[in-house]
Amino acid sequence: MKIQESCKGWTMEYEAQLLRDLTEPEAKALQGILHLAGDIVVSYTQLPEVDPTIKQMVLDNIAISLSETKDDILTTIDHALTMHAYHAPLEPGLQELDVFGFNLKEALQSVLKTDAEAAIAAEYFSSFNEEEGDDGDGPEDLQS
Amino acid sequence: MATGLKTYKVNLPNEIEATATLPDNLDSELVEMALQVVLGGLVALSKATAAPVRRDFLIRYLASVISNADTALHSVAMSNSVENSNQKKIIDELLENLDHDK
Repeated sequence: MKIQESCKGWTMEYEAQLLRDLTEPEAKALQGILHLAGDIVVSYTQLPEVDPTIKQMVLDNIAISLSETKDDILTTIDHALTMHAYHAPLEPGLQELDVFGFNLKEALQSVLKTDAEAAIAAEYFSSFNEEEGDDGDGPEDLQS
Repeated sequence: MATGLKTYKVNLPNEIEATATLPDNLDSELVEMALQVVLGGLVALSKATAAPVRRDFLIRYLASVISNADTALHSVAMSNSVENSNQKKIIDELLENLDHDK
C-alpha cells in the first residue's frame, strides 16, 4: 500500500514494504503527518537566497524540533500503552471489593450530602463525577 | 504475594491509637509511618473549631486518600500486567525503527 500526498510545490509517495491496509482514520492521520513533513521540507527548500548562516540556523532548528518530536512520540506511545494497562479491568483479587470491601466511588458518594461536597471530592478524586466523552483532540484534528 | 498477616499498633499523643492487621510482606517501618500519618491527619482535622470547616476538610482528606488508594490499586494492576505483557518488546522495536542509522 502506498500513501500519496501533495501540496503546493511538492508531491510525496510513501511506500513501505510492510505497510498494511489502513483504516480511514489511520490513513487520514498518517497523511496529515506526511503532509506536515512535506510542508516542512518545502518551507526550507524554498527559503529565499539569504545569508547561508541563516539557512543553516533554520535547518539546525528544524532538525532539533523533529528530534524532540521523535522523543515525544516514543513517550506518547509508552504513555498510551501504560494508560491502556492502567484502565484495563482489574483482575480477580485486585478489584475494589476484594481490596477495600466496597466500591470507592459509590462509598464516597454515599457519605456526601450536597452537590457542593461532591464538587469538593471531585477536585481530589479524578474519577469522581467523571463522565465518558470525546476530548475533541483526536488525530483527525491534525489536519487543518 | 502476602504470606501472612502482621498486627501493627501505633500510638499518637493524647491517647490516640490504632491497631491494624495487614499483609506481612510490606515494610514495617513504612506501614507504621503510614498509619501514624493518616491518623495524625484525622487528629489535625479534629482541631478545626468550625464544624463546616471540619467536614469540608475531612471530605478533602478522604477524597485525597481515596485517590491515592485508587492509584495504588491500579498501579499494582498495571505493574503486574506490564510484567506479563510484551510492552517492553513493543517499545524496543519502536526505538529501533526511530533510532536506527541510515
